[in-house]
Amino acid sequence: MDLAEGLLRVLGLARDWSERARGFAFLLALPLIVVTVADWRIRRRR
Amino acid sequence: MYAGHAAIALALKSREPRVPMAPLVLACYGPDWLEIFLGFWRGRDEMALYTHYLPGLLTGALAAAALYVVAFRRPGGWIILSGWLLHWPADFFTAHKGLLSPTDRVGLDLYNLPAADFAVEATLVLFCCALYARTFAHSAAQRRWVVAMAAALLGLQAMLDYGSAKEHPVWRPSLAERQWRTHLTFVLSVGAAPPLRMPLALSPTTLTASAQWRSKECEA
Repeated sequence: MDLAEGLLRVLGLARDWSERARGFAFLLALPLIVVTVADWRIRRRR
Repeated sequence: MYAGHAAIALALKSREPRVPMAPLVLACYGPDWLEIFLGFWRGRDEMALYTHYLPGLLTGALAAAALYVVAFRRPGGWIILSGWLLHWPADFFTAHKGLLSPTDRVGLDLYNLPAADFAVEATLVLFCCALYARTFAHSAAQRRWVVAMAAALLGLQAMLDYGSAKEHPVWRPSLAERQWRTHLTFVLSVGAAPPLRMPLALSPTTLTASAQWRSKECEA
């Protein structure tokens, strides 16, 4: 059990925090990080 | 669609630079994040139907735009709304998504044609990165960052298309209802059907609308 799952279990929300859901969340986080960091760097250099 | 949603966020950002990038990207992937969040209670597979069909999409988009306006107190709520709503047409290319009912789903199912999916999403990423670069990247260093971002998005897309591809994908595009139906068949109750002279010719045994009307007139 990782930290996120433990927290969700305490909150009673871990019904579908399966490996598949975690993988999907990780996949969604990657482009968010890539685009946000790149945008921040590009606009900071203006 | 995967990297294409991020590309749509870049295109929208070039339309309204005052919208912060993180909430914009979150909105473009909004139905997917909402699916994970609601999945805690009812399971992701079930919730995916409700977050991605048109009434659910519109509800989520309006809620996200309202939340953005209240939380950030900046202009650009319509950009958040557009990003969320554009999730559906983008996903139409790659999967099956609900229309007015969550179970009547349509889509081109390109996830099961990985090369075609990569071509579509890569084209969208490159086009939207060019739009973004035209607006924001004026120096060589800025353009290098845009190129690096485009390469990272293409790499992520390739990882999804080829790294997680099924062994024997079956392509099932659908522009109709969720169930495939056979043609009407007509079985003669008395006697055998006469042989067809041409394969495509209408046979006397073909069920037609006019035949139904004629039989109703006889009954009347």
